[in-house]
Amino acid sequence: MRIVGASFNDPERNANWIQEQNYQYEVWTDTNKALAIAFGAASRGSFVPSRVTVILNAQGQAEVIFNPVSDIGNHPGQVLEDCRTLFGP
Amino acid sequence: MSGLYEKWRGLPHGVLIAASLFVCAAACQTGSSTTDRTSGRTDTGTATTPSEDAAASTAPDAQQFADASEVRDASTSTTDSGSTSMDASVAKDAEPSSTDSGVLFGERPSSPLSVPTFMAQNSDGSSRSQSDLIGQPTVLWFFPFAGTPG
Repeated sequence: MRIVGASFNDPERNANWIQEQNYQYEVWTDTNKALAIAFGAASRGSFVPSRVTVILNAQGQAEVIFNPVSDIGNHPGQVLEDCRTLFGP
Repeated sequence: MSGLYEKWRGLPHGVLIAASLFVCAAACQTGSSTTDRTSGRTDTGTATTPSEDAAASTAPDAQQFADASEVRDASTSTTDSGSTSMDASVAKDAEPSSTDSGVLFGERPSSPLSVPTFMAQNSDGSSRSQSDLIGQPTVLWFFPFAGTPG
């Protein structure tokens, strides 16, 4: 299972945040907003993407979308449960 | 009394809120019947004491608060801070239960959605493209700004 964060932040800002949080997964800069637009997290004129989580299968197809992410406290556990349901333990 | 106040003042904000949640939940659970907050299920059994019920019901709240504070920046992160925020136990109190019924918490896309052609940049400066999201399942989470709460 791969975990990737994406925003419009520049890579330096993301790198600083990763270092501060000791975050162990990749965080990308969605340079031309193509990812965010494709999965409904932003439109062409958006300055920032919304909080949206997408679970992709191995073929790169969206299996489940959380849009918007509304329950931050429970969200990580819910995503993990959906991954288990979709792909097994 | 003032000494106690000074001690409380010195505690981090999150600890104070978590403690307040614990006290409020315990106060609400002192009746003979208890109601499951997340499922709406009412339990009138007598196998546990009110104080046990209160402890059982508030422990997840405190954990959720801790996890929420962990993930507030990017949680978005699906995991802002990696392993701590991917706590499966948090989901067990939420509805629906995907493990019991196969129901998903998220929504299936109304039409097929695939990874588009894109160019992204990893935080180390290296490039990422479509092929980097193919080959294994991926959790892709979007967030507004790094280092912002909520």
